[in-house]
Amino acid sequence: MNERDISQATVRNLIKRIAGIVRRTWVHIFLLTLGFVVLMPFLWMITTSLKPLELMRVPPHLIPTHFYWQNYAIALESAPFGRYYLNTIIVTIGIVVGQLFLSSLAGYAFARLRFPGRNILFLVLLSTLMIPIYITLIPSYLIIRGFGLVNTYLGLILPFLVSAFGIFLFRQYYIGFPKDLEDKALMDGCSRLQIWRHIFLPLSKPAFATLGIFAFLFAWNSFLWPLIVTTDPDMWTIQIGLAMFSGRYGTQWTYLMAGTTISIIPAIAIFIILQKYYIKHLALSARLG
Amino acid sequence: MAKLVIKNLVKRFGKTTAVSNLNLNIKEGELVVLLGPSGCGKTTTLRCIAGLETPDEGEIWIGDTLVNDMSPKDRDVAMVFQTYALYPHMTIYDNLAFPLKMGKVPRREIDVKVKKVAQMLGIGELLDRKPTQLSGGQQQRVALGAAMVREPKVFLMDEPLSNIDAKLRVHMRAEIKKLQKDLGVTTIYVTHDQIEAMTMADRVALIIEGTLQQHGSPSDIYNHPANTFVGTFVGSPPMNLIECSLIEMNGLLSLEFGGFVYKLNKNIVGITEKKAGGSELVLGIRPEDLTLHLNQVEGSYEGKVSIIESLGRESVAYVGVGADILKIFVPKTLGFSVKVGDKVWVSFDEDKVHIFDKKFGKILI
Repeated sequence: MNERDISQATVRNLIKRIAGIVRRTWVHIFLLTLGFVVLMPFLWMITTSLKPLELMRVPPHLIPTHFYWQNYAIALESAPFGRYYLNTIIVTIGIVVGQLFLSSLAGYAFARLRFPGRNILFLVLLSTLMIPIYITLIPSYLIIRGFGLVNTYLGLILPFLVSAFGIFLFRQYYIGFPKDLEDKALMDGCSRLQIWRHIFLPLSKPAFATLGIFAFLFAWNSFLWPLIVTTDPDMWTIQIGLAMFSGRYGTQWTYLMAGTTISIIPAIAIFIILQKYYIKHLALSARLG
Repeated sequence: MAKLVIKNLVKRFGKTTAVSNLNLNIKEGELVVLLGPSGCGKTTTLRCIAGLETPDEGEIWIGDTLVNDMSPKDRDVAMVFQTYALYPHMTIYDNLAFPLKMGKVPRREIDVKVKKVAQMLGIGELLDRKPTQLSGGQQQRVALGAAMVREPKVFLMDEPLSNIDAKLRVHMRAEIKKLQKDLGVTTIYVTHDQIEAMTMADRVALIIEGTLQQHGSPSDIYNHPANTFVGTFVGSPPMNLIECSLIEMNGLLSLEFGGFVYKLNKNIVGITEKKAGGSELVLGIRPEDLTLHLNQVEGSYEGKVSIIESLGRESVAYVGVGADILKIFVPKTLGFSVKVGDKVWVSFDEDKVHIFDKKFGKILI
């Protein structure tokens, strides 16, 4: 190999490396842009919560010149947010636990038990996914009122205790489980319920995490149903409390954003805790299948 | 320990009949291998015994109990699955203890039993691990242990060795056989591997297309096949089958095939005459019962070598005789002197000739 060959090889290598850097730069720019688009509303929410009340400035600016931390104190004092928080936690726990428990049981039944009408029932269940919540709102309210559950936690929880999506999710998850595992458990002396309890339940953490995140976000953010079914401010949830800042004559943006910032902290925490299982779900469903 | 009796078992899936009118009588402490090609209904039979499938007809008796309507857990049988079916979220200890825990055995007793079984199988060191941290062979031992720990009346094994490598399989074959003899538990072992069947079984039940073809000791099955299916399924290379017709020549009965005539000796003639429905027959002879000659000898047939297959220890020659290709072991004395295209002569060991009727493949002699 003479000197010219060596220098040519070096040049080729250099070109290759530069091309690699350029490609990676583009990918990073793309990802950063996406990340910025997703993060922007959060950033806007936080900075708005720290601006003075008369925030309408032209041109608008992202970072306030002076941080008004007292916005948080004012927002929290303007309504019993502690009470709203507690109500929301109770309702959310009720809905999440109920959905996880019932979806897992029903999903197991649809995936594994042979009973007459199973497939038709499952189709009916799936078709309920197509019904918008607004259609069932009034009948649901009439039923809940009929039971005398207006202004109760039960009234807030009951209509959302079962989730067709959750049952579908668990059925799909369980259908991929090895059949031998269940046969073995049967031979080891398990009843159907024990198979669910000892085998399926411990093996479905990813499915629980996935549905858990969805159910939590749904319950935590739900507004319309709590608004309809509660008239007593003591039973209000945090979303209704936040809506108080939007009055007929205008919205107190800074206080609304301060309240919102506080209200989304649990949601973000839950997602961070459960995301490793949530992502695992995808990998696991590929492996088990 | 218990005997196991299967009477007229029938299992259908939709229009296909997986098991058709199966009768089996398994003695106490016996190891019976259900042998057959994949999809022949042997696993279905096993699952019927386990209670994982409900038979459409027939009776299954374990000991003196009719178990047809009993749930799997009440039958006192344990099964080793092809995939081992170890619970992935439990440690090996918990996997072994699980059947006992479900049976409400006191914790202290569970501990004693689990440790005893673990020691017997040499997996005492692995008790704290999870199944995914074990090699295939170790998982296989755990699966065996999980079946043994309950001390059931009957062991059911569904191709337990098909997922481990060939060398370990030979070892485990002997080990399972020894364990079974030591424990004395009646065992039904399903496999499609004839070597496993021949080496392990006290008796072999050969099933093809859901029907029991023959039930007997391995040597019985090999030396006295009940029909052409059995003859060709067991043995490697399989039995040679030659279609022929019964003719009378000079007052003597002979078999005629492809221009050749095989004279039947007197002994054979008597039986053949009695049983033969028609004159169309099949002559069956195993490769080791044929002899290859380089020169013509009395009573031999001329042929041409078309393929030579080396099995390492020995070679098999495919010799065209008339319209048939016969598989023959090349004698060691001939070594490498036989070549493809050579003209050779083949003679039959008369005592080892099997004659089947052509229509049903059933043995005549």
